[in-house]
Amino acid sequence: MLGIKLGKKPKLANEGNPFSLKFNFKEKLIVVLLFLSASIAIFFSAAIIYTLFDGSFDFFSEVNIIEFLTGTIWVPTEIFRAFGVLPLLSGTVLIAGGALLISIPLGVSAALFLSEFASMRLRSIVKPIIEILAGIPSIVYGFFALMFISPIFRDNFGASYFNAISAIFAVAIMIMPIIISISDDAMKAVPNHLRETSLALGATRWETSTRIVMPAASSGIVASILLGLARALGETMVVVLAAGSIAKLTLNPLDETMTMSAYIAKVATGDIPPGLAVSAGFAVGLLLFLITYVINTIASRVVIQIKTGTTVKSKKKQEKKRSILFIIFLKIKEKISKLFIDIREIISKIRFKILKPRPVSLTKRYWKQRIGVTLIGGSILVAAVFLILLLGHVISEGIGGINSTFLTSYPSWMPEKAGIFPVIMGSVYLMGLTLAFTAPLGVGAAIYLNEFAKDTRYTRFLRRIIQNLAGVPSIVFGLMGVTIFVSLFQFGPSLLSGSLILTIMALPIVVVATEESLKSVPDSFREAARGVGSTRWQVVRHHVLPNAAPGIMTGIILSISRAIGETAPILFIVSFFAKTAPTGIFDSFMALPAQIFYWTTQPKEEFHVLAASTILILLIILLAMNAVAIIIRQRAQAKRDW
Amino acid sequence: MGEVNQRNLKKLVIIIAALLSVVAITGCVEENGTALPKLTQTGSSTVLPLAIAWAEEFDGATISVSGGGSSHGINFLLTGQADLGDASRLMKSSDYEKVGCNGDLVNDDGTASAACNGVLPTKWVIAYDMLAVVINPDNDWATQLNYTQLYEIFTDDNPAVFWDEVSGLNETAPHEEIEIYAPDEASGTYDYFFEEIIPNWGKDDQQANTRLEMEDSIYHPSADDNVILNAIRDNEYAIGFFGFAYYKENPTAVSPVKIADGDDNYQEASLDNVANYPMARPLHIYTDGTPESDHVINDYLQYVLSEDGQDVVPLVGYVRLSLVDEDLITGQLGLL
Repeated sequence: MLGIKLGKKPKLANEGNPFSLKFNFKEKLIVVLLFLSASIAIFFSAAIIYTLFDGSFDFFSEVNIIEFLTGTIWVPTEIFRAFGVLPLLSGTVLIAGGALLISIPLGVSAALFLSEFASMRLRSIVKPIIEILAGIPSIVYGFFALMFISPIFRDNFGASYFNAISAIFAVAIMIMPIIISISDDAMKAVPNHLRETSLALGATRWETSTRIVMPAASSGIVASILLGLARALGETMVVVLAAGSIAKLTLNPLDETMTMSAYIAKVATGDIPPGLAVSAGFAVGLLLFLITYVINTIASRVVIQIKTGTTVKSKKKQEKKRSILFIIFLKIKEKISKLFIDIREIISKIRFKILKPRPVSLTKRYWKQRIGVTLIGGSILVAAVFLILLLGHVISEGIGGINSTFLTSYPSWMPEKAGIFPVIMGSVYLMGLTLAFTAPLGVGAAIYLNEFAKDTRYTRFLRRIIQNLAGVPSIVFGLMGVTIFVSLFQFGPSLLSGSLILTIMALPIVVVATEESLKSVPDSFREAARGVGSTRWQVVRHHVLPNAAPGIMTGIILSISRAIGETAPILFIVSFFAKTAPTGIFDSFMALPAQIFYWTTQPKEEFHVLAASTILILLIILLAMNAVAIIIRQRAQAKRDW
Repeated sequence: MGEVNQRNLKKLVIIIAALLSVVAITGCVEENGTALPKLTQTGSSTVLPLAIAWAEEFDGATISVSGGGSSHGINFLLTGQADLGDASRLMKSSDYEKVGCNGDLVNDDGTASAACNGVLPTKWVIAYDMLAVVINPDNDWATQLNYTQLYEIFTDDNPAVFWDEVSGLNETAPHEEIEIYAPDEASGTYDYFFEEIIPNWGKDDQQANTRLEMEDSIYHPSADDNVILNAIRDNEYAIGFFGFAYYKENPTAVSPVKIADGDDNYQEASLDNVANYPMARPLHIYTDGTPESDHVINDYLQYVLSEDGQDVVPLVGYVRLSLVDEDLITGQLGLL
């Protein structure tokens, strides 16, 4: 925070004020409440860690950890007892790696195009497309992979019914928005004087962007890829629906495969006998958690550096603060960029020897630019085409199924009578409860962190914990919910348990969004209010919060819409049939994404139509929420007079 | 400007309050409309479609049904989180041990001799599940198979690679590779099939492993019966198995194999013959004790065992109890 330290002289504000004692008490209480809502993240993280360790304890007391990590056969039946995680790991790597192979070139070039070549007008068209892609729930990508992508590979390339390749494509589209938006941020953050210098030296815009901007933004680009990777590693629903359920040590993308997250989901949905096979799910969850944790930690460090700028702190202090992980990251990055430089040097040497060195004509360089820009612009087109195909497929499959019966009936076992009314209501209640928990907790935590907390070790710890919560694979939240809320707290498979799980998922997003909009309120507002004698809470309540409200609302709506589309975290507790909507928070519930999952896995074709129609309803709800968020944001920006 | 911003904040509060009150109001309305008791049912994914159908047709309660597997169903019953636990297998001692009870209290027939944490799991047989071993309609050499031949095809114990390597088929079958399309390990059907054909399945001296565990790529597992059906329809040399329900829905796509659990007592896979057909198993619902006669669970079980309830069974693809053993119905109704 710039300017005056606000915490220095709190007494001055109330001196001579007859109500000072009352005010102070109220303020202290509020600050304590804010502090508690920030600290609840610690409880949630501890619950996740307790779940994973407690759940896998039985497993590791019977199975050697070396055997687990190096075994090549995964047949977790009580009799066969082969607990080698490598087949699951290979499936996970195959899907995540394959998805990265597709989404890195597409995502990075789309970001380059957006940042360096797109007009403001084009940006304003493309950015919403990317936001929509990012907002589509993973169950929808799973449905698309199984019903649309998979048949293409089955018919033309002899892929098996379930195959890795369809999941790879779907996951690639899923993580593209992450790569695009963070890489775009990183390239936008490159100082303009670098571009100007390069252009002044006579480089074309293409040369400037590929040789100056991209290398300068390389940390951010790598971080965006790592975040995409972490997301891909933890992705569950696409893999469960499209990639199959057999753990095979294979890298053949046309084959069926199972990932770590898919095994955990199988524990939730399949007829797995009790005992080791179930606790193996927790052990796999622990491993998945650790892997994504490491990747996320490295990546988020870099992202924070980009956002805050690295030049503020003295170099010595910075050196000290770098964790081992970050140093490893830097080493790897250095190695990679050195490798690229070496390769480029070798190529240019060869070129120098074979071809006579002669200046490349300007026409040629401009042609290069034209081709390059067309190519990277094309990658935006690819994203748009994917979106059109996905929406087109879902609409053409599902629109016919939407009628009054479908909207008013319950999910009957006879497809022609089936509807989703209590399912919609289940999702609405889930949304309401999640909102009721997330909004006060998330906003409170953000206010505490941004307005009241001093830069102590504890505050930094809190920030890191909240950040890490955002990176936990969604299926791990499912394990945690069933262990902590359902069993330990005895909430049962209820609406309350479901909304608490979704609350933990939505919380970090709300905190980040709220903090950002709090930061956007100029410090001069705070200083002015303090100057006329407001207490710190009065400053927040009357000056900061009102100005930050639109941003906070946008963040809350977006995070709730994200949470409501999640399937994996509630897969363990959601119901697939009830005639009526829940009437109390301890009732069991149905939810739209879970119903899509159930109907998609039914053998009858008519149920797939029901699934598509349900997807349409879900997408309409999500798009409406997003539209509201965007309207709030735009109206606030238009009104803003600072 | 301050006023405008104040209004914004108020708007936020109002929106949240409005959303919450919508939730609360609709909740109240629902409550007034239906005064039915609520039941929670969870468990076997094999029983799930049947449980859903019954939950819909039964008028005495609002039942919410979820899946998650037989273990999950029994576990939730034992921990008091479900009123009805669905199971496609019998309760085992490990189910008791998992919740900290003495496994010795569980009898071999899946009943319990004493309560666990105050819950006495009580077994009700509610329908029969029947497996169909199926082949391509053009396959004329394997229209009947006994357990020995199935063992040679489906296990890793000296398995047959070509059809003419299966004992008894050496003369009649072509020299073509066998392809297996069948459920994966997650399905109860898989367990049930191998329990039938592998001696001592699940015990320490289990005689063989499944061909899936052998990983020789002949056994193509799938969780989707549709996939299995299509694969066998399209491949003359394929064989597989799944619930009889799927065969019944697609009677022309594949042909069922006659099965003999001895050497030559071949039995046709048909609903009329379920009492003699070796690959049929009971499906269960577990409850906490025998419900009192005025309790809604009692009404539910009575409905399930009634003529109306049993009429639903074949529609979902399973076999009604009366076709197997009339006494099962009268005997269980006598307890209620």
